[in-house]
Amino acid sequence: MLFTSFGFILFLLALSAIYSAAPQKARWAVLLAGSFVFYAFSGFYCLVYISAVTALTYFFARGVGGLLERGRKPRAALPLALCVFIVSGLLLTLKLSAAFSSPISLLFPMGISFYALKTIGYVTDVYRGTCKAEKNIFKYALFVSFFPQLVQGPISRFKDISPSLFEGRPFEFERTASALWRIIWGFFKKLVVADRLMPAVRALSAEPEIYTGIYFAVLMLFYMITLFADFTGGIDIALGVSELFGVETAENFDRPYLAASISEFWRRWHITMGTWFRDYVFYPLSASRFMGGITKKLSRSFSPRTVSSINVSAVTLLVWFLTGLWHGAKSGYIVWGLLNGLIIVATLNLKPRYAAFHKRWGLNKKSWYKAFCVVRTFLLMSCIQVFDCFSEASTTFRMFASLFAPPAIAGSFFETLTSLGPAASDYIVVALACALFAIAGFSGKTGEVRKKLSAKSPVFSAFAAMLLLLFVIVFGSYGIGYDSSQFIYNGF
Amino acid sequence: MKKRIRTALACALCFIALFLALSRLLMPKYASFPFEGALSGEYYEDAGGNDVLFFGDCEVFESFSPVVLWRQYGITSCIRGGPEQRLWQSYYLLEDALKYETPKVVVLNVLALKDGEAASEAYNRMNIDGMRLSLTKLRCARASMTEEESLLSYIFPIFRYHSRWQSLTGDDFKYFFGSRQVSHNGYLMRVDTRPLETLPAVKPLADYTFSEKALEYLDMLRELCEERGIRLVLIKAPSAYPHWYDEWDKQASDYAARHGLTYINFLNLGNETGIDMSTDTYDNGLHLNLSGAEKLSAWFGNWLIEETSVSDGRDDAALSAAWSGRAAFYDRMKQDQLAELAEYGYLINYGGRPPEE
Repeated sequence: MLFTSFGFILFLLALSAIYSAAPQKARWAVLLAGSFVFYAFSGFYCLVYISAVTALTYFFARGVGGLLERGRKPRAALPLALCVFIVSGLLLTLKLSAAFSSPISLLFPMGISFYALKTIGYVTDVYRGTCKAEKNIFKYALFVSFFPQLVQGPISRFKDISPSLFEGRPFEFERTASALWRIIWGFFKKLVVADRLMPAVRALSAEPEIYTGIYFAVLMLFYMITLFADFTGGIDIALGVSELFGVETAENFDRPYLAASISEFWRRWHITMGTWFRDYVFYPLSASRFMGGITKKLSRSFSPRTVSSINVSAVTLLVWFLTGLWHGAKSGYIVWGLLNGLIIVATLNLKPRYAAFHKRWGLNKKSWYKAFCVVRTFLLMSCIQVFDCFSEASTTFRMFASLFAPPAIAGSFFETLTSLGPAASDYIVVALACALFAIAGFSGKTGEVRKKLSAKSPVFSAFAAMLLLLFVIVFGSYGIGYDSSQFIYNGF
Repeated sequence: MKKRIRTALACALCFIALFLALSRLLMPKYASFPFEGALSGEYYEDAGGNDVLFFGDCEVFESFSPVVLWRQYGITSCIRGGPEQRLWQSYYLLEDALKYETPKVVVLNVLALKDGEAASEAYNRMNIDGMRLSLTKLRCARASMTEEESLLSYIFPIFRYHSRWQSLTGDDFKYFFGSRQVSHNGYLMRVDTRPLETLPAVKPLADYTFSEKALEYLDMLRELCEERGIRLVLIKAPSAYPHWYDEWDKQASDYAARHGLTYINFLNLGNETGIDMSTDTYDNGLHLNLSGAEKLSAWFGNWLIEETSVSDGRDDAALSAAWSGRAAFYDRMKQDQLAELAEYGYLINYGGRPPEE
């Protein structure tokens, strides 16, 4: 069930009514039932997968928790490792089957990439003692399957989300208004911008042999806009719906296109994925015996600083390789991950030289230099993200080679643009919406604009939300004549 | 708390007002070609007191002139036709019409019996959008919808027409508060002539059986007429194309005989009606022009008076007053079309095409 479908709105209305009518203690059960109903729309086989992963990780976590209670932590590592192996193995198998178009890929369950990470993180947290193993399997099932976050994140952590998830908070005027604001804003991003521009992105990436040169640059720009609007829009809806039911979750974005470096970008973009890989892959790998052994060997030939640098660089590259693989077992994603890793590693290693350079010219305090860094990061990320558009990395490299050559397609630039799907008026709408994104971005952190508006004048805020909703209704790309797209991140 | 409730209420009211205004603005007005989409809504202007109601596709709303029926026989009638109107749409449009009036005779064109599916989403919209919101309308939409359509968009048409902001014209603003009347009790007038020359070759069909769905709705329509004491008359308008196969004719004829209904195939009554496809069609025999519609109405009016309980209403002063206004509008449009034809050689404002096309 697509978040932007009428069906989802009706589902949400019905669930809200049942939720508010239910006794507070039973509300989490209503959310659980609603989550399973929601997920059943993706296919009943999806329920089989999620139930199996839930049951498996629940029992492993209980086992790990039991051993910890008896003070046998070393032994608890075994069920943890087994659990991680099974869940990640399942995920890897499905990813590989999708990459090689195996028949199994037909039964690729939507959202498994997200709930697999969620459950692995949970069992690891139990092992680490960060949270206790949940005794009630149904409550745990709700954590795994909570419908707003099921298909594209954010990747929540049990200790963060469980108190508000199981509390059954009643609807409150201010929270409901704030949640609705966020949902409408998400709809705006997805329907007015992402789905409006998506046909052009598809057309440009479908025929790389003709849309070369300047059109490849256009593809990079359009894909950056589409990806931002699609993914952050989807997360806004997910977090808005969570907020509606009083569930507090971590933010997944913090104005990523204002980042001044790639490392900063990844601290602002898909934050929960970044922190997941940091906490459950990077740190354990860095502190592993294997890396310890390598460090020991290297220490004989290199200085401690160099050894540390090699250690961090190797693990960073491995983490980014896995991040690419998590997105899909295709060369495009793998190269995408490695490129991110390489740039971050290079940045880390060149940090002292950068610092000296900045100090020498006093650049850190200059606003034009900050703006330059933001633009540079945006352009760099455009070059990296475009690897998503073609399944084979070699195609993307070929396109880069064509970038400064005349395009293979004849005809005027504007005529070609309007032949891609969106009309001239659609591009104007997108441009205006981008201006709005920029204003919202410069006005403060994610969510702050709503809060500022609401604090300044609740009446104005309510009217602004109403106008935004009408804008979405009129200018949204939905219904007949539009190909209502799935969210890009639903596919991962 | 009270302030919050007031704010929420004010917002909701503003939202509803703006939502309705935008819906109205973005809905197609059908004040220029294609006019057919206006027909289902215009019915309500003419509803009430009609003795004869016509249902069917373009073969009906181009073939009968209610003004001629009134002028010559004093028969009050209205056409509730629509482009590519399907049998289930005819049924629900009749069910809807019966909320406003109970005619003595219902005339149904049988061409749609061959169709078991909607022609397209566009035709569905033209037939259903104009209906007033009711359960009948929703049932009609549900029976008609193609896979891509949603019922919600028939309740809130803005969800279908929202993208029209890109193609709004002066008509959308001009007719914001009220549409321009385009029909004469459901009759769409065309005075131009394009004689029948050649027709596509008649191709044999693999299966001539009428659609089950259409027959099911024909049964329902017949039963509805029986319940309300209305005489149902089946007709086949004299359009030369699409070809009316003998096998279809036999099925229609058998159905009528089985249920004691009258079935008139006007294709076989050329001599009686005087329809001449060299002068009485505006598009190579597909539809009748004004001349053809007036001839057919003259013959059919006489038949209605002689064979049914329909009577002459011209003695009724109120009726006469109402119909004189309609007749005047009819004459004005006729003169306007004739003048346009004389000036441009084709009907520039009434859906005509330059002669060379």
